[in-house]
Amino acid sequence: MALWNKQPFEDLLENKLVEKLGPDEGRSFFSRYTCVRDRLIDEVLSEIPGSEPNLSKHDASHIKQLLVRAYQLLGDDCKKLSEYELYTLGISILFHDSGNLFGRDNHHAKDQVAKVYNGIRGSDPKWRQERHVILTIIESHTGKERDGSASDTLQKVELVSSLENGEKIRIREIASILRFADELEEGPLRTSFFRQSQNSGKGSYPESSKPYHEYANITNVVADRGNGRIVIRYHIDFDTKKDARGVKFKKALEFAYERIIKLDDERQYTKYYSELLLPFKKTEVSFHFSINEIPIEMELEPLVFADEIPIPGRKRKKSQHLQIVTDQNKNYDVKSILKKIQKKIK
Amino acid sequence: MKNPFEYEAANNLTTQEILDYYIEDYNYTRFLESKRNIFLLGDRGSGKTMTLLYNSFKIKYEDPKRNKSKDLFEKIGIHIPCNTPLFHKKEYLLFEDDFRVQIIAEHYFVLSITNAIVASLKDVREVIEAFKDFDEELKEDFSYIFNIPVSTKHSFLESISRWIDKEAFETQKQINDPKNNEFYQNALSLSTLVLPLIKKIKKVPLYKDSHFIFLVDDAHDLNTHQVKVLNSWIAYRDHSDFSLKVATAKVNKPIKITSTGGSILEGHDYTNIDLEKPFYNKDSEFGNLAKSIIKKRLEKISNIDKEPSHFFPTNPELAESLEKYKEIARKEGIAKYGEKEKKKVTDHVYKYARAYYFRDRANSRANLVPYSGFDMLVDLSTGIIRNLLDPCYYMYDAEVSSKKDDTKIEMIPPKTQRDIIKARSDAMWKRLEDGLEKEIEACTESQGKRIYQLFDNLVLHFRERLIKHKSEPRAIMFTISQVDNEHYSELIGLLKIAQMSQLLYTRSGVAKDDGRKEIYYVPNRMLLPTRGLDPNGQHARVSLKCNDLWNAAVGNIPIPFNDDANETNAQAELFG
Repeated sequence: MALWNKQPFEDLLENKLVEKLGPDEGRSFFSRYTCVRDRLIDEVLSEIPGSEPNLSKHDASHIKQLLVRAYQLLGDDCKKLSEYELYTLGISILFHDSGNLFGRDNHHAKDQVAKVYNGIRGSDPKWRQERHVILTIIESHTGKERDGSASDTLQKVELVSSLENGEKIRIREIASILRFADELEEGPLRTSFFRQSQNSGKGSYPESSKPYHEYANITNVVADRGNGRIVIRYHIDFDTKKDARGVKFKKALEFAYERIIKLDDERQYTKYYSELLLPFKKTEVSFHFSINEIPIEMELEPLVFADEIPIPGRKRKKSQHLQIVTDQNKNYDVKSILKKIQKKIK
Repeated sequence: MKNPFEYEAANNLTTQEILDYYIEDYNYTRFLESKRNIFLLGDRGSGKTMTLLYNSFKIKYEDPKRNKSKDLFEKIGIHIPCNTPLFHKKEYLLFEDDFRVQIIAEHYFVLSITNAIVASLKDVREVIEAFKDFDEELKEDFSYIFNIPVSTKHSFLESISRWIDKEAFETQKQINDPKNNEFYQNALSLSTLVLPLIKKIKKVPLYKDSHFIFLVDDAHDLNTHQVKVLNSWIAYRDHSDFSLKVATAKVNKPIKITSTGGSILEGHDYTNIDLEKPFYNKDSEFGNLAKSIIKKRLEKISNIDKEPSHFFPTNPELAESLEKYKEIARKEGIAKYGEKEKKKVTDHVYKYARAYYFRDRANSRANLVPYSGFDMLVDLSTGIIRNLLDPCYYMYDAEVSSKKDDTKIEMIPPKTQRDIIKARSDAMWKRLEDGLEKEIEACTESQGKRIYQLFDNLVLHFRERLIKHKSEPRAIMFTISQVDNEHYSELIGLLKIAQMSQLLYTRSGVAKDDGRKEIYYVPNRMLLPTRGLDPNGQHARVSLKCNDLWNAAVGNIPIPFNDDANETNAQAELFG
């Protein structure tokens, strides 16, 4: 198996299972999780780049980061999840992107993920209830229906279900946590800087994927539960040689604005369905600019997006994003930022 | 005759002395006057308090250069020293409940801040004038909010000052009362005392656009609960009315956790400014700063208009010898690279000229190197202002003592410089030999012994390098490698004690192998003259194994010398 250090989430899961079932049964139940993890990492996730070479990374590192993220999101309240709920969350994290093996479109759909699930777990009927729970959770981790239309997918998830042993599991809660943790999982680890540096040709990313990879490069997200906030820090460089007119810079900034609003929408949406995500009352965003990698001072106060009345299924129009950000603070007007930077360059 | 190099803690200086001695660095001032939260990092003696005081309203108001500026009342710096009795109150130890402890910690903290605000403003003429028309209204408001009678005899600010004293007394009395099991119900917080007070003050037109800058000094002295409270304020998003500038030493740097268990994040909630790493501006590097400080002190205190390099001349023999060795190294460089490779030849001279000189002195058992010259003093300071002034003070004092009349001291002869440098270096070794447990409370006798052995072996190692190393003979800084060692945390414990004693400093630089930031250690360069080493080190760091350092500390085992050691070129942050 690929190198894997046991994550704190996994320690907690194992300990809770042992506490509940005793050492032998607890560890045996935990091995249901580790077996899936090891096979998925070796045989499925490592193969996704073959079928979807231009996606951001969906390999073992993404799973590891997501386990860390879920743990960070819940903080001490992780303990408020029962051992079976933690187990379900862990298994959902493992499978959540496995459908990409058959293509990005509908990668979350039950039939796509089921193919991987069955391949890993086999056809023993004892897994059918677990499969049902896991597929339901995963299907709601994006906001899209099969036809690509936006929808209130979490609302369709049952409030409570169970594994084969009949113990109650709050699956809508778990689906919300998975979805929000996945939304936060952005950053340089999810892309290849080498491929981005290839301008064109076989090694490079296609134009349609580039903004996502560039976005991953500039983004740093922290879930600061104690202070009730999600903090996004952007580090955007203005490259005077490769982007003298600032076209790429402007695009990166606009794309960041779009993603801020999406992330904040997701924060408000998922906490509507999740008790454990309630402490996240706001999204704070700060931008750090540099010119040719030398940091510059723009004196921009961080943006703060606090809770509004949650509207499940609400999606703000793309064109609204720039307006929403500048309504928060007019100094974030893209043109004026660009102007200020160009002035500094001169 | 006043010694121009007298080093007084900034808190003990008069307003005029602060204005006379402080060398303003626009880059720091810009950050300190901004609305963002700042952590000002620097070891003891690096000028943190001086920087905060210089930017406080009280000092700014007395400065003829700055008190006419239109922003005098727009940015009001309030100096809040954390080493006052109010901060050191231990009443919180009476509570077992963490939540209650936080509340009491915040209560005392806000009393101190309020006290500092009032103390900064109440004696300023314009303020007294400005408050006159609003005094009664403010007093009435304050009396209503806090349900306290406000004296009619005193002004609004004076009344608050009196009330704070009373409140501190009441709190202490009630918490300490063994018969009273109830929690202190009048506990105050930032949002119930400081922010309402600022709002009230802003009713006065002179202050309507004011931003209060809380200059929190010596934050490393705060207890964990106070730090958490402070961090919660840093994470507070609305900084239109106030911001925090927190000065702290690098050792015992406060944790970054808030009282609600959250974190404060660099670049988002605050910005770090390293006082010992003038990164923001090329002109603010320590060498220039040192020059300005010495020049200003000579002018203002002793009325001497001289360049520091003339006041502290280099011993002619040393200067001549260094030139001679430069020529030797230059010829060697030309022979190796050819005359056209000018940069390579220059690098060769930089690397080897001084090394050859000190190497020959070490081998020949000649007399002590005639350590002297202003540049040498700057090197010996290890980038700390207090360390720069210390030998200068003793040199000046020695000159005054040896004089028979009242004539001005026009310069410090090289011989005096050499004698004092040797004496100060010997004194530093003596401190180590006697054991740091005598000066650092947290140090045990065995740790004291280990630190001495560690430093002794480190310097022996540097000496061996000077004599034998082929490419980086003058490296006098180190990093620790192979840290997955069982003794790593104990070793770091020893190094922390050495840092507290100002025998060791840390810097951060970029690691050679993977570009990540790494910590490197710089022993106080005043330790080097006694052992005949060159304080003007090379921009290189020696990578030393954790185990070797530990063996040196515990078993007094020499640190193995390896000519191929993996050195890293430093990023020239200190004297670059």
